[in-house]
Amino acid sequence: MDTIGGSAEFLALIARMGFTAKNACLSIIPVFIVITGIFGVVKFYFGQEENGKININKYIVYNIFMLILLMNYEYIIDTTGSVTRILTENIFPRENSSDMFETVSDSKIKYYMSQRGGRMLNNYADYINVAKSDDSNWVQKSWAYLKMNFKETTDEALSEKVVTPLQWTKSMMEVSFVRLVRSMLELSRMLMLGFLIIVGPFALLFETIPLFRGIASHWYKLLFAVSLWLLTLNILDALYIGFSESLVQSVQNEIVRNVDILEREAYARAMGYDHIMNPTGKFTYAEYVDPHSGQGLHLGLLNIAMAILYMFVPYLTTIYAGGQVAQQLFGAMMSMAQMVMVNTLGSVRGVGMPSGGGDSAIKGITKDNT
Amino acid sequence: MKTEESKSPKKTMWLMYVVMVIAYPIYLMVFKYSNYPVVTLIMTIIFSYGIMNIIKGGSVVIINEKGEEVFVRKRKTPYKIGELLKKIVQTTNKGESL
Repeated sequence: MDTIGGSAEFLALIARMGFTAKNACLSIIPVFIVITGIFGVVKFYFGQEENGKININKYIVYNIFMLILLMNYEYIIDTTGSVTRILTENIFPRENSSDMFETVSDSKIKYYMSQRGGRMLNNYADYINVAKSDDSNWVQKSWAYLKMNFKETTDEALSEKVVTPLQWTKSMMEVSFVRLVRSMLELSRMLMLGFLIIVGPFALLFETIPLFRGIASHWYKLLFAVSLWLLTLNILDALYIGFSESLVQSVQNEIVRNVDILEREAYARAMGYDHIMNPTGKFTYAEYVDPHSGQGLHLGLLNIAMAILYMFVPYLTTIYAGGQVAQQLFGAMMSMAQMVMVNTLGSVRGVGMPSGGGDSAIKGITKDNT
Repeated sequence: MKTEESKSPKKTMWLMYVVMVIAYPIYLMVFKYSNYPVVTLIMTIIFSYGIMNIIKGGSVVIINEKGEEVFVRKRKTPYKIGELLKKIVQTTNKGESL
């Protein structure tokens, strides 16, 4: 359970509910074993088995195995958690979500500083006070970031640059939107894992009845796939940070090459920053980096691309770990959310989400109020 | 394919297997078995052993191409439950003195 996340109280709640479910199933499973065993004998003696052959594993050995698994249910969950931890933390170390967005936000601010000069410094100073403070939580940091974006966009508008409503919305939502999508996915993962841990004993219980065979492996595949969403998230995080930092680095490298070294050092010393900024606003991003060269991709587009990729985490996980059901389930959740939004907005026509099984079911229900 | 007629257990052994099977539900009814999972597991294994031998008693062992043992029912034709019930009713009626 060490990779679920969430507060200790929440984990304790899951553990308590899981134990209750396990104990309930442990008191029922012997009855199911008796019923299945006697059913096997009766079916065999009455000649109802195919070609008169009986599979002893099906009625006897398998059920003992299920009983042993149920008795050691905690170890199944712990082992799965350990495997997930080894895969995620040892191969791709887990970044704290809040720290990660701070890094990306810093990259974005550095990028704009390189592009626009010192104009942004005052806005950045307000943000950095909150962002670097240990007392601030991620909501306060996000809010500070939004405020900084608002001031920056307003400055742009005042300096007679044309800011369309779309540009303004994009600027306001950039990193915060990705953070929102990622947080939503993390929260969904946490709740789904909690749910799967609680219902696991029931899957093992019903596995003892020949009619429900295959349900336990189905449950376990789902548990494993949802656990591994974390690995996909970590890989995407690494790509997100790496790409945004490389973008900043490319701009800064250009500036380093072109701005007078003495002027640059004097400015950096005066401002107390260890990285190089454009001191006068004379040298802009557009002057140094050709937008058609491939490295001039805007950070805003990167954020939109990352938000889409974060939405696709359940699907991306199926590429290497299976668990199509998890993807379909999440796809259905997204489609439901979409349907609610579409119905709320009234006259807006629904657009099918690129999701799993839920998609097709929802399309036909979308209301047409035109 | 090799066929071996499994030996029918002796009457005392039959009795033992039946006791194994019956003892388990009694254990479940009498004790709070969920508090003793290890004892429950041992009792389950004993019960399953009994069930397995009861099945073996009425079967022929066939070794298939893969070398696996397959238990096949000795009697070839399946019982039809309706006919069986009719037979039981007739037998019971015959025994009754009217």
